[in-house]
Amino acid sequence: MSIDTAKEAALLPALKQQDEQSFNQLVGMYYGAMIGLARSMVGDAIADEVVQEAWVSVYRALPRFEGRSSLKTWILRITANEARTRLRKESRTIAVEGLSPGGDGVLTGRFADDGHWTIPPSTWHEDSPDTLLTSTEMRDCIELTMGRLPELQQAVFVLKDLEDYGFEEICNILQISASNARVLLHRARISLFGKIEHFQDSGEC
Amino acid sequence: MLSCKQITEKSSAYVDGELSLGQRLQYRLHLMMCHHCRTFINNFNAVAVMLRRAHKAKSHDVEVKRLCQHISSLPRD
Ligand SMILES: [Zn+2]
Repeated sequence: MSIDTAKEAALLPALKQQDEQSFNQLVGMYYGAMIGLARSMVGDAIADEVVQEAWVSVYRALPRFEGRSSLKTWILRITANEARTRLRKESRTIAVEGLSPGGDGVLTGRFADDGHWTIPPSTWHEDSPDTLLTSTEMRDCIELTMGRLPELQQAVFVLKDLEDYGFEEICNILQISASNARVLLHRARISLFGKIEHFQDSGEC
Repeated sequence: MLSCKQITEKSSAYVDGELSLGQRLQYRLHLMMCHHCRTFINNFNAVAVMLRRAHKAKSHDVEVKRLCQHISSLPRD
């Protein structure tokens, strides 16, 4: 049992009674994951509102929580639904991008016809992720790049690489197919890779 | 024999452990022989690690407190 699962199990009876203290504890546990997901789907400007609305829904629905998924998965699914509702209201929609070939974007044009590198990857100045991140410009650049990825790419990346979810749960939360999730994740990673490499080479975002 | 291009295309499947044993061996064989692709896969892996560190380091204490106040102001069912 993971720490989160154990904590959830301990909190659940009180949560179902809408106990305020337990609920505040729950907010503390999952706020980071929720805001990350909400930002990825609706952008920074309205993510706070989406998360707030999602928590209100969670609070009201908790007495009926059936435990078919983990509490965290359930909460993130409510967040994703809240984000979609919000986008619909503003007549924006999230498109699952067509799975067109050659979607590796930033790497297109870096290979010869036989598939060998023509513009090989550069060795990054710092090879430890810790030192790479010390520059504020770099961090800002990454945030900017994340924000510019198509919504579902960001969402899948956040859930898989930042929140450690498996594909099955990601599909449950975002209601997309596993094959779509895999393609979106790969594109997000490649785009971020390309941006960091560019930053490493040029010092510019 | 995998090409360098294929190494990049299958990089997510490789790091997520979704290649079959045979594909995995082929992948590793290419990495052993090709230093460009070794550089690529190291950097590719570093991306997720970096972003995760940045993500976990963020504190949301202020927002959490505000949110809890909002929720406790809601009418009870
Ligand atoms: Zn190669």
